[in-house]
Amino acid sequence: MEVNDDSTFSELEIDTLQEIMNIAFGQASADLAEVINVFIVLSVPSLKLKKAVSLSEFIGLEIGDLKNFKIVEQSYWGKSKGVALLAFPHEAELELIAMFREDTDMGFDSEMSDELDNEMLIEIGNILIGACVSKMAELLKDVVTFVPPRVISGEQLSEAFVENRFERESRVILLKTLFQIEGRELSGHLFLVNSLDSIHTLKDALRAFWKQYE
Amino acid sequence: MIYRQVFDVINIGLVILDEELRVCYWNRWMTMHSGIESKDIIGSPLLGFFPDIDTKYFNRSVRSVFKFGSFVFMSQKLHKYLFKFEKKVSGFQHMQQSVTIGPIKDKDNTVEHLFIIIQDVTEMAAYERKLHDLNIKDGLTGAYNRRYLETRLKDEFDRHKRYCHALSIIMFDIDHFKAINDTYGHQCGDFVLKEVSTTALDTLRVNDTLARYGGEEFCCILPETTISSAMMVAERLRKNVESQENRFANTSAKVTISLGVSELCEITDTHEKLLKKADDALYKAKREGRNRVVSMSLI
Repeated sequence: MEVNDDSTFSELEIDTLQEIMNIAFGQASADLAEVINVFIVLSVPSLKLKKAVSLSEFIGLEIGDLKNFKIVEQSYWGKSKGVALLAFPHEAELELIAMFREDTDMGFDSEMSDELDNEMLIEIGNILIGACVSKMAELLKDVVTFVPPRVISGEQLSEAFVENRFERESRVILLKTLFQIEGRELSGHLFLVNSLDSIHTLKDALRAFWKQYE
Repeated sequence: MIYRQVFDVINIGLVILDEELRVCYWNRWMTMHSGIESKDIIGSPLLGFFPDIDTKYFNRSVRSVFKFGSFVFMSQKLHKYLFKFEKKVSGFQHMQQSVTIGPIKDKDNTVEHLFIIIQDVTEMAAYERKLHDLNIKDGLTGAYNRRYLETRLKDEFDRHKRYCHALSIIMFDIDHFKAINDTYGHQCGDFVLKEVSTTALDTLRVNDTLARYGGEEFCCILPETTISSAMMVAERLRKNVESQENRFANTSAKVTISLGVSELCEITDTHEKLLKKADDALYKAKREGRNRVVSMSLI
């Protein structure tokens, strides 16, 4: 595998990364079906290199009607640091909550209903994000640690969101996929943003992945 | 394992399970709170000791940790606790817990064990509940405050409108309340407010919301209730208040209430209009001689 420039990815490396994501998400959705009895269709992920400062705007445009979206956000650390964003429209949010609530043995207190809905979303987000990121890490022979997720409204996805995590001018890898719950009108976006702090490690991992097929 | 010296003194619970959910490690904190010695539980299935834990949710969580090597964060707000440990702190019967379940990977990166970390967050949850109550409840009567009513009414209104379900509200006001204050004093006035509020809470259903709207005026939100049912509830409320004695310092400060009832329909297409109609009906009840129920259909 030819690697010329150490500060960016070659086309082949990007293709490999995209392929890894594809396999990871395929495995994640199969395993999710087993764990939560719900089949989640994840579209072929697309991968882009972006400047951190342009992320919020880009993600905002991809989602479209941000005001009508809620986002579960979760940071994770492996060889590089990253953040996952799971965004879904309000209607999908209510249906998702209803779906998982059936499976959760508890009563709901109407006084706190908004807060509890958010807690439900956090748990759902944690499962979906955990599955996708862990599978990806497994293929890259990485070990990932997660922090508890939180819920933000679409409107809170401002520049500050990026500034707290990545250097404004630094480059990041952005992965985007659409998820859909089979048999239901329920879909949303999943974004994974990874820093390029340890591009060498990632390149090594890609090389190792490639070697399996040589 | 020398690290056990640390694990046994930390102020959190630590449990390690294998794939069959047999206990491999049980720290001293767990012994302190469960009364189960480490030597008695190690090697045994956890669920044998704690059958309450055997829920769909717990099994799903454990499966996802073994399958993905990911973490599960169980929030106190949603789950209250994982291990049922007795701890009575301001209204809580059991220790409130924040729980993390995560994988322990071996050298080949496979997950054969998981850990459960349990944090006691009872005091924090109690403070949070207290703060929450202060923010939404009226200190004197224990009914909700006006701010909460407005948020709740808007939410209920939107929800019921979306699903085309019935929703009614009752506004009521204590008749000649000023005279109670002037005759028996403000302490007695406060006592009457509390008594009326208690009667209203006893008369309404669990899912109804009672709020002190201002001074001696209250508002009830009745979800899934048509106006004819709401009129019956209002009439029962009127009778119950009329018959209560309100004994305060050897005097009986009997009161009556006037009530206005409205329901979600074409002309009440916003929550403000719904409230306004009930208020208008209440004023009609006042004008017509008090101690009566008036429906919005009569205004």
